[in-house]
Amino acid sequence: MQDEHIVESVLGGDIQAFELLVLKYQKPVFRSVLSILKNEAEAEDITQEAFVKAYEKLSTLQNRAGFYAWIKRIGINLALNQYDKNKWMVDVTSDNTEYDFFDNVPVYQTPEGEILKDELKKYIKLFIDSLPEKLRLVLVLREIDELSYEDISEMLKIPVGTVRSRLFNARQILKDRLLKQGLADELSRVN
Amino acid sequence: MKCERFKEIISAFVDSEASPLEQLALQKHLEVCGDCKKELMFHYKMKNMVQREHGIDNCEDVNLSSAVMVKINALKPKESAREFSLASRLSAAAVILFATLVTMLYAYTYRSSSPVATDSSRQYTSYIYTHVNEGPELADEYSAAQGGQDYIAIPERRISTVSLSR
Repeated sequence: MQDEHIVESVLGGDIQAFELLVLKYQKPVFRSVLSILKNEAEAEDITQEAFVKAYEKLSTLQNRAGFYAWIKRIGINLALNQYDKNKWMVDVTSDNTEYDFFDNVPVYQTPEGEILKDELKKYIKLFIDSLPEKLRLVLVLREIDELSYEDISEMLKIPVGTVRSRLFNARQILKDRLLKQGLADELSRVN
Repeated sequence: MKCERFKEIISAFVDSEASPLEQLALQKHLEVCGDCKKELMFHYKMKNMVQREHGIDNCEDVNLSSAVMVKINALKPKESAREFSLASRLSAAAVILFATLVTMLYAYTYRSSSPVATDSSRQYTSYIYTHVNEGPELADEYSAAQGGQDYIAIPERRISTVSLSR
């Protein structure tokens, strides 16, 4: 069943049909939200809130075939709002600067020759999570949520040029970290 | 130094966000620079790995549909309550309107069948009205005086007479 037909059914009064949309898109929306918030419990709450909000505002959806992009955007916006709240709470209790990322990452012995693919995955996740928040946020919005520079610029209320330079910096840090851990060659092998 | 300038362009290029001019410049540069070509390959690989692996593990067990539907179903009574409230208000308005109409209709019917004597030339200052059937004798007397109308004006001093006659 196409999304637009499900949306039509829901708007026609078949409320339970909305569950099909939840089942279909809960994982990618949750994934986007989690990539921003890094907290599973919080991400679950925000994802639920996104779907409830989408249900309440469903009649305002112009392009009914574009439900996925719409719900994802709602989820990301809610996650960013929550992120701002959390950031404020962290900011008043911590004076972290954005250049302390190396302190956040434990230094491992070079696992060259014995690292497996899933371990490389863990390292990448670890390196991304330990990026300065401003850089991490732009990177996940681009790579995980696949938003354009313009969309990221609009959502974060920063210039497109800033989006571009933050992405570049994030990638440089990731690359340096992989090189430092001796994982650059491993990355080439895995891919 | 020249390669440094292209590093940011490479980052934008793997996102398909480099401008046409930048793409052209990068393409020409890659023809002569092996390091930047390696850099580009590395960025593509890193990008693929990040997209493929980041956060997926956490999503496998996610099932929020029940919780979402509970919340959505909980919204329904509120909507019903709003509708009920609106319906109640409309019903109340209809009842009031109906009552008003009935009252007006009754008043109109009564008034149209009970002409008021307005003869101000009489010496009496107030009047009461009665139907001919309620006091036939008096009715006859005043009916003649009023030109044969069924309803007549009776001077106030006659009230007791009317009452007695009944």
